[in-house]
Amino acid sequence: MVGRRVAAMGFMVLLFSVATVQPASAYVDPGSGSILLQLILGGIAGIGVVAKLYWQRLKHGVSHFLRKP
Amino acid sequence: MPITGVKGSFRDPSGRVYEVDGRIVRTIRPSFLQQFEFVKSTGLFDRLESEGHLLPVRVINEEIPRHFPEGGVSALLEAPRVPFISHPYEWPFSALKAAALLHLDIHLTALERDVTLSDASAYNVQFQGCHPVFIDHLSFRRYQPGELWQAHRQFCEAFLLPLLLRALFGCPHNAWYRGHVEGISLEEFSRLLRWHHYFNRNLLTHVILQSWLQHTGRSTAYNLPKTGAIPTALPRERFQRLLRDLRDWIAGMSPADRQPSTWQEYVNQNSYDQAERGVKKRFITDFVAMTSTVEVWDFGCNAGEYSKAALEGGASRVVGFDFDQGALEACFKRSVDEGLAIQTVFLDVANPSPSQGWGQMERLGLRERASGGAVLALAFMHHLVISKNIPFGELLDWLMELAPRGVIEFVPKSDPMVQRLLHLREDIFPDYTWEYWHAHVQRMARILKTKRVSSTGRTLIAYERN
Repeated sequence: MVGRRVAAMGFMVLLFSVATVQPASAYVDPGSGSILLQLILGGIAGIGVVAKLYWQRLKHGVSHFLRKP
Repeated sequence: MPITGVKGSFRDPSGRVYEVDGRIVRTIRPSFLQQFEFVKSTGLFDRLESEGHLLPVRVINEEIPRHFPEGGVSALLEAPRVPFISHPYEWPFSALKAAALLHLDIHLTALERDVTLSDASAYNVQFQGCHPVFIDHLSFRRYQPGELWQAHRQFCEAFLLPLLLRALFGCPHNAWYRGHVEGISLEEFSRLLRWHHYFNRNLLTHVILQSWLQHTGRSTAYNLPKTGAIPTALPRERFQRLLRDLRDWIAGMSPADRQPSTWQEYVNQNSYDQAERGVKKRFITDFVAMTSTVEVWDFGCNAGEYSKAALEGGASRVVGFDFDQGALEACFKRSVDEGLAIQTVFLDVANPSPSQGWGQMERLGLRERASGGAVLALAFMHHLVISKNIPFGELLDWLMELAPRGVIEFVPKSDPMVQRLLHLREDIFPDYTWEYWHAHVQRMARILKTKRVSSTGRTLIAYERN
């Protein structure tokens, strides 16, 4: 539960920070892998986002598995 | 007054490169002017230019009304013309490595001054001899604290993965890179990796983890920020550490295929002796001096022995072409060690670089970069004629169209090196004779000088096109 709370908090921090800044002009497509990697390398807020993304996937996977006859 | 847009510059919305009467000029659009002025005010350009890391530019705003009367241009820069534009798929491993290190060094210097690079295209680096130089002033913009490195994936695909291909697997990057143009894709490259690569921290971080996140993150990408900067996501010291880690890793890379290649050893194994090589070198030196040639293209340059002779004759620069990776490395090393103005370029003459990319004009082929100088083709043509079946006359035409003058060596069938090529195959080359060759050259050019340089009948011809 603590992990989820940290992850959710990290995600909220990130969303808040994204919402408050204009994107820089750039013509490079960074790629989601690079973004996620740098969020992890960047520290706690980033790890929170990634954990949140994968926690949802894990939950979905487990519930899917348990629902199988 | 003819103004032509340089096709390779279309991606950047902040400005474009034009050719005006043979001069290279670069526009800055109003939306980017503030960024440019900021970067200029930090003194970064002056520092990088003084170190030879950045092409110097001159602001020529007074010419805007003349060249761009329709408006939309806030500043105009003039850059010196890079004599020979080469592409990353034409660079040997060492050149690509030098370019990657330059990119990272410039980025680290820039970050100290609150400046970052908005892209990591390898085409932004060009070579002056063996020295890489950064050419794109519009790649620099103000750094926003905490922002992500937007061009991380681009750097990996344009520099890191092509280098790793050779460093891990001994496979040169050139053919694969040429196919993709922007580098080697992360997804394709990561399929080559084996379980033991997971124990390499750098590989794990930049390749394996990035690829895995790319794959699994695709379905959840809607949760990611749309584009652009994310404050506090990547603190500056972590950004710098990321760049420094990559720099240290790349600096330590070397090709996995370390055994000498066929042509690397050729200088010591060929059939003619030191005296004959001396005669050839003198012939080239005299030819360059006599014709006051500035730029020489040396086909089959090997370790650059005759490229050096051309420089000794007074040429300002040589572009040395070869298809053998070992020879290219030896030539690049000679150029660095001896401080020679030799630019080393990978080229398979049977399949030269074409014009390609967007509109098939983005990256120009070799023919479109033809030189006003001279070509050297020493101990070169018999390999293409006899091993690749390229018609002798067509090969001569191709060579002679690239530059107005040159020196070509004819190696007769009686020579042991040609005999070796013919050993396992039928002689289907009736045109391969001195008489045919001499007459063919004479049809298009004035023969300045001929010289028999070996007892086996090797002969040099210096010519100037009509």
